[in-house]
Amino acid sequence: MSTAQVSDEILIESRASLRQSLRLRELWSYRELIYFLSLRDIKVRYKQAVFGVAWVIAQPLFTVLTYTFLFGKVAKMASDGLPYSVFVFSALVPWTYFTSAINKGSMSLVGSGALFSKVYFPRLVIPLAAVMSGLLDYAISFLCMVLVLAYYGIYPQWEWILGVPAVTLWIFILSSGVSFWLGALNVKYRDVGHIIPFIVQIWMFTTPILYSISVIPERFQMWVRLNPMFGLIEAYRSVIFSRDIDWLSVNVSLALTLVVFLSGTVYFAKTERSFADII
Amino acid sequence: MNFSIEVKNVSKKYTIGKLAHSPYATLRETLASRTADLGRWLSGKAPNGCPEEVLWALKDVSFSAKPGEVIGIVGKNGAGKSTLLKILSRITEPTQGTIRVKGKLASLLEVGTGFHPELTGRENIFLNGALLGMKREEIKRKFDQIVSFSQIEKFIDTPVKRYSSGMYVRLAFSVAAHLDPEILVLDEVLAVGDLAFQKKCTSVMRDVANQDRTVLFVSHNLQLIRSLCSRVVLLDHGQVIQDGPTEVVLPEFVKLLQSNGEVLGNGLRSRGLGENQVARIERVQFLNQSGAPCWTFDSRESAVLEVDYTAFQSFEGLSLWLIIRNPLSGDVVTSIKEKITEKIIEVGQKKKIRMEFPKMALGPFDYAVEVTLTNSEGDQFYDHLGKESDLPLLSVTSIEKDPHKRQGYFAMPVSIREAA
Repeated sequence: MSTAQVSDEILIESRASLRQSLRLRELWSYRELIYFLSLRDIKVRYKQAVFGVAWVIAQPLFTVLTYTFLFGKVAKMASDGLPYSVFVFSALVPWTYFTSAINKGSMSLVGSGALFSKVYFPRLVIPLAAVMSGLLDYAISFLCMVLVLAYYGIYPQWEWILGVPAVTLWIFILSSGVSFWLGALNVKYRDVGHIIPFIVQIWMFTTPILYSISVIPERFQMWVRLNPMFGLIEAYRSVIFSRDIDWLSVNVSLALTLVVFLSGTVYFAKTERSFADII
Repeated sequence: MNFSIEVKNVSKKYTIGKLAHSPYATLRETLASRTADLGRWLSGKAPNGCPEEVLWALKDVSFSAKPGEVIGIVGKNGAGKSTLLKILSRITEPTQGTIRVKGKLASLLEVGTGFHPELTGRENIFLNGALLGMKREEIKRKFDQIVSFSQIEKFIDTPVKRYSSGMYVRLAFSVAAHLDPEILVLDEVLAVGDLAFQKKCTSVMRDVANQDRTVLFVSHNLQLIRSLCSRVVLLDHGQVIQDGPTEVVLPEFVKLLQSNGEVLGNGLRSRGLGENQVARIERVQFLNQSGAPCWTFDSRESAVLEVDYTAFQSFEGLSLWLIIRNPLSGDVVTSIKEKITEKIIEVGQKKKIRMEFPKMALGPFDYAVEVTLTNSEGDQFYDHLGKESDLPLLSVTSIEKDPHKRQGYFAMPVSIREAA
């Protein structure tokens, strides 16, 4: 018990530099907390729900059915020559994870006020855990999609092994970045919480999820491409349907993702020190 | 110098006033005030904003702690104790000054932080442990110890929402007790749980200190501080007033508390009249040898208790009943019931009763004082000051350093010699 542990000396002072506020090594040492917190989220969500996992399967299936009827059969949207339900499903799986991640991630900080005023840990843990806790739902709806695809004769390909995790990581980074921004802003300005559903809705309709980019007039297409989710969804579909990847769009979106993620991290690190005082 | 914590000129400023009304700004307010600032800047006028109200919760606080020291931090409400702990725990930042911490610091400002009611005891142990900075391996290794310490083996796989509050607290403290930090910061957490468990907690704190680790401990329980801490830091209005050995600083703190004693006594007068209330106790005050108001006595000192009352009805005969209790358990330590007079007291008369104690023959502790006025037979209450009154505690101290030399509630007069 009395063995001296070797540990660094900690300096507590007022204006820490950005590098000190980020404390990435410390965040790494708290990685298990991220895991436990997202595990808590998942367990709590399913413990009291009678049908548990059934909801996770039913929700995307019914959404896809509705969209297929409305936009595929009634409005007859262009779908890159694929069956419309397959076309929509392949975009809804990453999109649903993205929106649930930014919803949870942005609201997680305000919901953790009690923790902030009682115990110290790197605050980035909270939005990261929230973003991570959506991964299980994502995996389940991915499996649903695989089954639906198989029904249409599209089977898992070898490229998926590399491609799917890569794009999933991309969604994780992008939704973390958005969550850092919105979460930190929401601590200070509670209005942000009201704006998020609105942002998500607009974002969904400006991203080619229900439609193909080909239906957009040529001169607007450039603006549609200036969206980190555009390249992401395109890349996802390209992997799933083994199409050629549109590297220009992907690179633009990747660059935007990095901008959002890095600026979000910096903004978060700068504001986190006042969380306990204002939350 | 070999220190484990070094606090240097630490200050913490809070802006109150506008902030006090809405703890978080709305976007509109910020935009509006930014626009106003811009307008003023463009028109070259100085900002006319009302000066912000500023509260310095801590002002230029400095002290350091060595390994093996158990330091009590005391002060009245609002003295800055909690702010100091929050800064030490890195929950909030100091506005000025620096703190150097050598070694793993664990702070326990609340028992059961992050506990989720839906999760089982087992799941909460892992979650809470991780929140307090433990590794999963470490928690796994100590799991059995934690469970057996908390004495809830049978319910470990039950959601904690089904726990009694005692079980909940026991489990939560057990996790914290197994942190093995080099520096432990505690805020009044021992005020919970039953007496047996409190004893267990106290012994954990002693163990930590015996292993050459540092404990910082905020409490209002003077008895606990007296028995645990070797050193006490006294805060008032955000500043360190005194810092030194417990037996020197604690009496100072009690004096500070008593500077309010008169005020508290005055509050008695505003008490409403109950139905058929015959008299009202206006003032209860202990006096020391030199006749000064005082609520702290040494076991060997003499003391005087004065009770002032006003008669609201005329009555015949009066007894005074004084009860001294243990404020934590409510046990009666001793009581005195004496006939004061058989005469008739007229309406509106103001009287004073004086009790003299040749010796405050009580053991070192803080006692609750209850005063009741009754008729001479003692079966009709005229007025009663019970535990809901705002009388200060009667604090008895002893200059003895060995707490076991005279244990318990009484200091019996004794003369001892070798007889054969």
